[in-house]
Amino acid sequence: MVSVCLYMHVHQPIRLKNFKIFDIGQEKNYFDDAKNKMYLERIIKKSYLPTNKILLDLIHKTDGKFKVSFSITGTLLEQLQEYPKVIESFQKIIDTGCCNLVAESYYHSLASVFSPEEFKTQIKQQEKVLFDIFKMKTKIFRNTELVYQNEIGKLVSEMGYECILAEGWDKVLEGRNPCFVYKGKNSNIKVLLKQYKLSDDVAFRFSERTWKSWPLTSDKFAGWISNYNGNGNLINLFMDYETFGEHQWEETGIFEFLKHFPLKILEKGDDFVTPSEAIHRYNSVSEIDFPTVVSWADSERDLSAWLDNKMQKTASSKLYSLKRDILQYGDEKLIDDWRKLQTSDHFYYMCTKWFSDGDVHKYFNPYKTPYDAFITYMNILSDLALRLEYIKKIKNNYMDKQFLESVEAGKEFYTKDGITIASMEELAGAIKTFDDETFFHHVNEERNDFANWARDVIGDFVLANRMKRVRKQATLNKIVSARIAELSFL
Amino acid sequence: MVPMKVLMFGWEFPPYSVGGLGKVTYYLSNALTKLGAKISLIVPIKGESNKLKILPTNLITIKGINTLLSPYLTEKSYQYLMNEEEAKIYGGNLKEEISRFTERGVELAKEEDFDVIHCHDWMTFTAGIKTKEASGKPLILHVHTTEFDRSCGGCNPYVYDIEAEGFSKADKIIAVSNYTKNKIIDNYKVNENKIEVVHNAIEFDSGISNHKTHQRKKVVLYFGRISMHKGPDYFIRAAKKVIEHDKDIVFVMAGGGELLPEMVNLACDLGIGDKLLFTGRLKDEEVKDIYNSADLYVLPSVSEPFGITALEAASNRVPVIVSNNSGVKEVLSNCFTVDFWDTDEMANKVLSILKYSGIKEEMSNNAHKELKNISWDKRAAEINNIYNSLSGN
Repeated sequence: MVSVCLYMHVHQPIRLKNFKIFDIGQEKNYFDDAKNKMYLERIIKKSYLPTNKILLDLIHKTDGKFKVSFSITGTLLEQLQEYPKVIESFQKIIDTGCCNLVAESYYHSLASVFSPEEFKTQIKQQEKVLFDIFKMKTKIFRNTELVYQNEIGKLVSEMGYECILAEGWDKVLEGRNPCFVYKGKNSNIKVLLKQYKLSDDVAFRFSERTWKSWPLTSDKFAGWISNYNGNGNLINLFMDYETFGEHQWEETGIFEFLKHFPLKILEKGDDFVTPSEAIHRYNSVSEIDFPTVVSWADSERDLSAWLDNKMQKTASSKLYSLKRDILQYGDEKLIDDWRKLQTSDHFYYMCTKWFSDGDVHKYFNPYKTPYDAFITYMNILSDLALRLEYIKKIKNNYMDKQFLESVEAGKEFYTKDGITIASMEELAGAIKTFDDETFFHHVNEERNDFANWARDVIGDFVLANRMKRVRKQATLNKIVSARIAELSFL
Repeated sequence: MVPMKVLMFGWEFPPYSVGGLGKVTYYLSNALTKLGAKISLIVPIKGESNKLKILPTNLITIKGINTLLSPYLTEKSYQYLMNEEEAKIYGGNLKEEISRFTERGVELAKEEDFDVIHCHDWMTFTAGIKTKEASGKPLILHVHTTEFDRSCGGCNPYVYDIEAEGFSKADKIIAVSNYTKNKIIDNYKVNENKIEVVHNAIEFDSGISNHKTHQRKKVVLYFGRISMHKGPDYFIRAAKKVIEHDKDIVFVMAGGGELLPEMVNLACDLGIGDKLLFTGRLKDEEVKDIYNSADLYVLPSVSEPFGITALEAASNRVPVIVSNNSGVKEVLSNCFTVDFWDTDEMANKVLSILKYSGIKEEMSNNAHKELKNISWDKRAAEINNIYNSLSGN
């Protein structure tokens, strides 16, 4: 008897808005809510709801002999908050006890290759959201894109995980078979290796008419699995959840396949396990060494789809260079935005590997070109860096008597009605005297020239921050006067 | 395949050329002769010489017809071109001049032995039709631009009629892009099966590198005729937005054209006269330098059947922004595209590309990979197939 461990990765990124260079510093939102909603509703309808229904039916129909496991990213769970029916459909499957939840990084990030501490933080955040929503704790881990090497195994093992999922890559296996439980090098973590041939037969080749085994029937597939009897005890089928209904459309017959192949497998005398059952049922046969990073992507099985080209390197190094200051000075929103920019999909969109070939990867890319993805990302990252800079200045430069001094010649504020303002004192005096026309010229829905002047010329970010959303003349006057009093007190 | 004898009616041929068409005719003819084709080329030339000195191989014979015709003429600019002397020699207006070219061209064609007739753009169409009628040989019209591209709406019915007649009488139409093919289908009601797309190419030298010296200021380049359909005004309006944001960026508008004075005025009116430099028409040897000086190339055309300069820029390792209304984007995917009217987005892209490191190198490396697969030899082979399919071989 061989056991089949079916694990599905459920994820949607939070896509970015077309953020122009002119938007930098304008306090605009980074995320394209409308587009994200559109993609999400499409995938709920085409994939999540019909697939979950089939999975739940299978569990009941087989009296719990069918098992399935999920990892669901934090970025998706956040977006699903407004769709309780979808959460509930996952909950029902989890509640049967025939399902393991698998942990990962909340943001579906590549933090594991940049910063172990950041990686841990995001894992803990994911543990929390899984517990909050599903009331579950898990000992099984998978990293973004199945990125794995020995150190990652050691790190998650130290966090209490018993098992990690990884790619059953030939170069690592060195002639061994992925159909067993292995133990990671330098730690006690159990490693389950993806049987990529059988997994990809479903995930990628199912509807490929030029494939010699097309069409893939349940019987054929169950037969291939059964052939492993005597040559392995565990078939790990790891794939994206979206295989069902999105990557492979309903018209390809993928749902019919999903309904039937588990029954065929059981008929042939094989069975299903969750990852935790697998590691308790089967001992590890040997140690497996992942000296360098291996992922489940492309023929290279490396990070080249995310972090290889010049743009990806520029963007990722800029992103992680902000880490120390963001964590030291950033507020919750700034840190969350920074982490959402870590989602690996943003880097994937910048990939040029297949771009000229018109590859299918384009189908999952919201940008016209990888270059568009890059400039949008960099504009947003520049805005984030600017926000960080402002916050730092406010915190570091909170009180400085020099703010009261006159600005250098040539940097004075010239009002529409011809008044020249050279200091905070003069600003307070002038604001009182403006007629409506002059005042609204400088302070309106689009801008607040006085706040910008206070920020960029006087350098008083605190004052600028207090002024920037105020549209009333009297209030502005009060704010400036109060700030003068506060600073004079020094 | 049997080597073909081709009678070609052209508009220009180096060194007597003002636009891209001369270059295209030159490279294409050369590549065709490598496949064994013999080409007799009949072109209008301005000036006295009837014997063109540049004969690249003995497989191309060139017969010049003395005329003022040049590819981008309009009635107005034609009148403007003639001095009094010339007015005596040449026809008094564009129509007369074209019928003179046609008449003389048909005469010259009678002396030639050929299998197919290959015409480049509307001025040669009538000569092609008449020669087809006289000889019974198949007629191929090669469309590098249509009246709808050049006129930006104010279509000249005289030119349109010539084009429409040509399209209906041709045995095959070659369009330089799918973009142009669709224009022909939509505007001239031609059956799509009659049209083949053969994209333009460049002579690519993979050894080319950008020798740009370390200038302090970044340079954004426009290079092409300064005509309405090329969208120079959109380039200038985008430049204004860029300069407001970053005053250290310089714009260069290279090329001549009837809108040059108007564009100089526009730049001054917008207050960017000192940031936008005009070079006038460039000599061939200056073209290389202009690409070398550029950090970014913009092709903002309102309508661009192909846009070979974008390939030239890319081959010189300059990143490229092209108009969505262009044919070149069908062969160069490693570039930015933008709607010509969206000057906000154009300015955004210019600023972003120049601001963030990584993009220039990434784009030009990938563009080079694409350019390796583009060559005139391949295009000539495609055209040779068309010749053969028509002449019954």
